[in-house]
Amino acid sequence: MSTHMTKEWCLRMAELEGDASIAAGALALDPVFEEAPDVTDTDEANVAFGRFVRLMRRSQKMSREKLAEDADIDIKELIEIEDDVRHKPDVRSVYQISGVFKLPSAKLMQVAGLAKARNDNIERHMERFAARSDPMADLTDEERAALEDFVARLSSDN
Amino acid sequence: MTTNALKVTLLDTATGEPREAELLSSITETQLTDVEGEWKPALYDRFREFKRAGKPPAAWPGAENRHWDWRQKVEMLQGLLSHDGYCLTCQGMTEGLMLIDTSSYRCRLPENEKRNLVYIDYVENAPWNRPELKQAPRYRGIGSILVGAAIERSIAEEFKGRIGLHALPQAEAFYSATCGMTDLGPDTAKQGLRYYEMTAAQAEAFIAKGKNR
Amino acid sequence: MATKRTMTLNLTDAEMSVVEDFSARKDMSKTAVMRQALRLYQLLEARVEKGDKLYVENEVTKDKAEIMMV
Repeated sequence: MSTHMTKEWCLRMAELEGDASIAAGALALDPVFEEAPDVTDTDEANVAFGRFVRLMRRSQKMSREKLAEDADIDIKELIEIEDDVRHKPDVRSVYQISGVFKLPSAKLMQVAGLAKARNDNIERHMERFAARSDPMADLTDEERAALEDFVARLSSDN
Repeated sequence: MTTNALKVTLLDTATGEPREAELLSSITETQLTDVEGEWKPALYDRFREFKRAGKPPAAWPGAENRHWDWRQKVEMLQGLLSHDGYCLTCQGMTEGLMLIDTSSYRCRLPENEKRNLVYIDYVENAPWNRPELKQAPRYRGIGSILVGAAIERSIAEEFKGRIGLHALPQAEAFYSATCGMTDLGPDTAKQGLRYYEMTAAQAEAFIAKGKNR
Repeated sequence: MATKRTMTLNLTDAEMSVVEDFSARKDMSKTAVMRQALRLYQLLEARVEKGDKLYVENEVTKDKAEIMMV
């Protein structure tokens, strides 16, 4: 690129531009953020999500501090995610956690109740997973199987 | 898409100092990840603050789009000569993005009717640079640099600097006053957004603005 | 801009006159005309490959006609 955009030009234009909005094109419209659905829906989603995070963490022998550190999220946020079924996690937290566990972030957003599932499968698997696991006890063979099964579902295309 | 980095300068509003940035003629996975992992969560945080303040959804300063799938749109355009992406990065973070189309649109101004132009399909800056979200933008100058890049591309394609775009309501003042583009009114084919066009003479005047002291 | 490569194009008189005509009408060099044509050709091919049909519509009569791409 040959250019007229010298340092002086950029700074002069920045001055003229000031604090102006610049968004153009329909793609620049903000995404629609789903507000927290009804409490009943949220409960179901977050039972699975909180339980899932806890079991994934324990299966990888991570402390809460370690996961919070690796995911670069606040430890308080992680505690709320794991312990409070009514807590609505931040999009960023879910995204960061998906990175640590190497799982598709979009799917995890659905599990966390932050995005609508594209099909019923995720919800069905979530219910099954929640029913088959108990967050308080040690990780049993059945729980490990339930966890592995759920991870496989999340990682698959559908 | 070929990647050429161009050194440009942004104004850091916190310090008032110039900050070196890069303009790249490509949008890569890094930008998609920045949009999904940084822009969207930042926007969501602003949205939550807005909700907590007890404001009705209708009062949200940005209009909303139900079919928001950035990744899909960008991936669809990969490999097409008619479409190109540009990004502006500063200290490793994507601060501004633009998609252009050099084939599908023609000038609408009577004086240039049906001549080719560079159509800006999309241009936006990171949520923390958006003043309508009731905050002081982190950097200034992103819009001018991206418009400047579109003009340069238009000149390179022998379109003489002619560009066109549909501005979001909050950005109308920037395109009419600062960029000096002609307002051709609302376009029902583009969700009622107003269409703005820049002639060769207006492009020249825009570039000259930054050279005048 | 990306680096460019040069090629020789063998065109018939009729084809060359079309390129020259476009070049004059659009106030663009012949190279710019050919590059524009290639962009448009690729864009249309991509749509047709995807299974889309290509139509032209008369603005006044709203008559539509399909363009066959081969």
